[in-house]
Amino acid sequence: MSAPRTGRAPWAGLILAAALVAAAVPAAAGPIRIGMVPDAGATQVSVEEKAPLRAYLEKAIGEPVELVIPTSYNATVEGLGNASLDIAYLGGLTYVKAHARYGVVPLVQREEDQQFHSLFITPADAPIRSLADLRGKRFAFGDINSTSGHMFPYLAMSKAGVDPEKDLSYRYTGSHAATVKAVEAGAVDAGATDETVFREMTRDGKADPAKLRVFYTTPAFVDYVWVARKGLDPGVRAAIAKAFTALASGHGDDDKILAILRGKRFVPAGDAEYDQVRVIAGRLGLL
Amino acid sequence: MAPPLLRVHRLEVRPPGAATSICRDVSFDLAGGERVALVGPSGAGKTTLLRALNGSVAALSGRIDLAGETVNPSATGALRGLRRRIAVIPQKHDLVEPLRVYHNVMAGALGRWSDAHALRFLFWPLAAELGEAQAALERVGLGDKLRARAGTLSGGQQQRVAIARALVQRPLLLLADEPVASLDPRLAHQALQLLCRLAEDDGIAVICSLHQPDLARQYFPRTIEMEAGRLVGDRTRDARPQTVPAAPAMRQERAARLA
Amino acid sequence: MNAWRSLLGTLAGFFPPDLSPHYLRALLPPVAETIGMTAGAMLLAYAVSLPVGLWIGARLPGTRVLAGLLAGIRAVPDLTLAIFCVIALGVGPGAGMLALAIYYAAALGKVFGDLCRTADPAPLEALRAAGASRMQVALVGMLPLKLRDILSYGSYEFESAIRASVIVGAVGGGGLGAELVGTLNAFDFQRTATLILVLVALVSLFDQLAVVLRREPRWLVALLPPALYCAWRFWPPSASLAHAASAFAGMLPPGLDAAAWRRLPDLVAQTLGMAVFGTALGAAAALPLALLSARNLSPVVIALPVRRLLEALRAVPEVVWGLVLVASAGIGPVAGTLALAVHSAGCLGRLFAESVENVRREPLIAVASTGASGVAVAAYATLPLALAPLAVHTLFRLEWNVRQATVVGMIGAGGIGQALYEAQQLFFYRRMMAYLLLTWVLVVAVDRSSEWTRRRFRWMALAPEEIAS
Repeated sequence: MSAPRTGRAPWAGLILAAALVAAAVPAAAGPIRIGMVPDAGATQVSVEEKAPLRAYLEKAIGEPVELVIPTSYNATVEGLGNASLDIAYLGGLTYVKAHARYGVVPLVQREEDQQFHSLFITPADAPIRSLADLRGKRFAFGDINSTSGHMFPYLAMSKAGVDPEKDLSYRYTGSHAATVKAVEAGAVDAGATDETVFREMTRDGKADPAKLRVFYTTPAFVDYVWVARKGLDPGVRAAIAKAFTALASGHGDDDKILAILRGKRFVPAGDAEYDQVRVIAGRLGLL
Repeated sequence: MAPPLLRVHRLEVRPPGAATSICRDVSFDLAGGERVALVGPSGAGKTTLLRALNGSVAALSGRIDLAGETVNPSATGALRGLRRRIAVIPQKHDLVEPLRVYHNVMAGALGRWSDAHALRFLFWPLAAELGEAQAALERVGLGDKLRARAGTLSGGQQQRVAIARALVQRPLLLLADEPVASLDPRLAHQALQLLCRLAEDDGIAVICSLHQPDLARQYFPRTIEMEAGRLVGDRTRDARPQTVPAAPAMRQERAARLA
Repeated sequence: MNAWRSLLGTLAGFFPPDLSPHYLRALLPPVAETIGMTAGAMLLAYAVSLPVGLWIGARLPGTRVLAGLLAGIRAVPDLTLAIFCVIALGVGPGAGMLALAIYYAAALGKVFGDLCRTADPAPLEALRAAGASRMQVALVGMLPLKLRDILSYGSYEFESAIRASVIVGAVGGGGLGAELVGTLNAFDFQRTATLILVLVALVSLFDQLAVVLRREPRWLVALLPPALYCAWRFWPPSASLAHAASAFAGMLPPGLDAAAWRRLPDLVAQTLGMAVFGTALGAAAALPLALLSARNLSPVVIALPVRRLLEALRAVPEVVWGLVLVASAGIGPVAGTLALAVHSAGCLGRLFAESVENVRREPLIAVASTGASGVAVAAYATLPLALAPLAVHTLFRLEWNVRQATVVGMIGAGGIGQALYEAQQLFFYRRMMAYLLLTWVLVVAVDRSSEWTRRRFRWMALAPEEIAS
């Protein structure tokens, strides 16, 4: 067994590679990276569907924009923390966490986010009529960090005297869309979901409205918000906020963007709105 | 006169993949209980001839008759029937080492057992069956190894287990391919002595390939010589000894057992 | 029963796969990202593991510490490493690449160390006699002696790394994995089916590539420039390294509250249960499949299709089976067990078949020559002779499945993995660290007892190539 002579070249190459990789310093300035909520699946196609939003924002702030759909809220918040995301769309609960951990700045939200509701849905022919009927059933929450897909539905069930830990078996589907589809497919007996996602899916034919029935709507709470990471240039921050608040329904192009964002009008958002979420999340052991 | 036990007539064998025939125009007869040594330089075709006799390789032409029936190894059932009547003792140890000695010995009975019987014995041997294995082991001097793992035995002991397996098979003919090639001279004498005596006791015919002519002369009344795939000699000793000569060590062992 | 019906119902939703040109075109970037991050990761892994392997092989000072560190890293399930990297470095292929690089650096480092120790001692002795230092012996002696083995072993790992890259992608590491989770979250199962097909194709492509590379290891040089580019392209910005350090500090010390401690025995039992039953089910399915696909037992017309089936089962990692089963049926530990069983059946089936094919021929011939039937030969020779390697493979698979049971737990199959994942999702990082430590202890404990069993029964160790995959 002698050394194969041909083998030396890769070895030299590998040393060179190691040295080059160690020395490689990537270029710092990139596009503004915007994290979306994975509420309808983080697929390439769904990124493509959001292309008009990207074009609109690029024009509005005069910088290249990249839309990113992380696979979970946790990844989104950590992305804001380590600056791999500049702007992101968060739920109420994740905003509270991201604010506490990384000091993210609230920018804007949809008008209805200030008076938001979760829907409890079940197959149309199922015998479930009230929260109490959920006992012994299979139930779907969305993402564990979701305000409308987990936290407030959980609270509503507790208030109705149903203990999700003891009275039923539940699981997290990871997204609102998955919850709707899981209920429709019969993989679970009922689920809790975001009202705007449910309306959009039944309107666009992504879920069959004849097969699903809403049997409970939660009281109103404050939910989604667009935020900027702490260190982001205030100029960019302001430009983004302005781009959102400038959207007006009734203008052809704006309507397309608003449809993607499932909203009618954007208003400035503030941290104080989330005090109620903070209190309840603390009580449910989510903070 | 009764037909011979084995009649080989103008046999030509070309193993799969070989360019030329390894055995050519081989003919000989063998009577029941007769012991023959097959000698010749390595590469003469001894192993191939033995494999053809046991149906492991098909003959290109010619005929083999065993106990009056023509052997046709291409029919599976016939091949199994043939193999049941012919036992093989290989050159190198060939035991299934993870199994126990009694499994290996009674493997000789697999040809007459049904699959269900075989599977049952693997996990649940009956006393009668173990008794048969024990008897065979005692005849080869391994009476104390019935339940040992085959892998724990020495090379010489493993070969004796292979002989016990052949006895359990109750064959008409025993084929041994260089059975002493890997043994030192003293053990070689012992092994051949044992083999020949047991064959004689049970009336089993033996064809044993050897490359030491002196061993062949000493233990086998008849010697067939092969060279380059052909038979070049077939000699029977005039005065056939009444009994097999005992190897010196064996004689002592037997005396010790009697005492 | 209900769960099974809905499982079958939703599985039907996977057909037909979405093979429209539009979607296939949309998949090009994630496929490129997956290949790129794998290539970059393997380059980094080689760059680290080669010197480490030589160091260990030469038994330079600190070898024990280094070997212990590598063993420690290998006991961390790949998905947990990926989660770490996503927390530390943010979403995207950079985190995925680094997670893979760390994991494979540890795996390759150990194998390279072992390989170096098997180097022919004579030339090394000659070098030593000539006054070479241990370092010089390693560089001038061991490395050239073992380079071919090292490169060819690495090519095995490449195929497995492609699969792992999908796994790390699923938690935010980018590429096909992210896309897969996306389609499942959208309940878009027809596109999930497309992705599984793409993954199978990708794995078999790299399998073929690995075969070529094993024959001609110098062709690896051709892969260097693209791998180098990928490593550079996906290398995380240095700012995030600072964040990584502070994030890690925030995870210490690990801690669990009383309620979590009370739940712990159940969680451990669920995880171990998934591993044990998954392995047992997989092995039970693998045995007949292996006998049907063994060249020495089965005719080609049967063996070939069975081999293809085993390949397909193997190409899709446990996590992907788990994602599919959990998303479509959501039956918790049952889904996890099935996911482990399906992949294990594929892996064990091949290894079992090889063990059966590699048994010594002489005993087989001897038993057959008594006139025994095919069944009797299998029962009295083939299987007893293959039993020890079969048991060793199964034990190795069990060790692996304990890690994977944690991983499928993370995607919703329950057990300690799910607890870990939920703690991580809710940003309870100290609790997450505690679960991680417990997982680690569990993995090490199972590894040790499996090693003890193997020694106790004197089952031989296997060549590294056999353990791979």
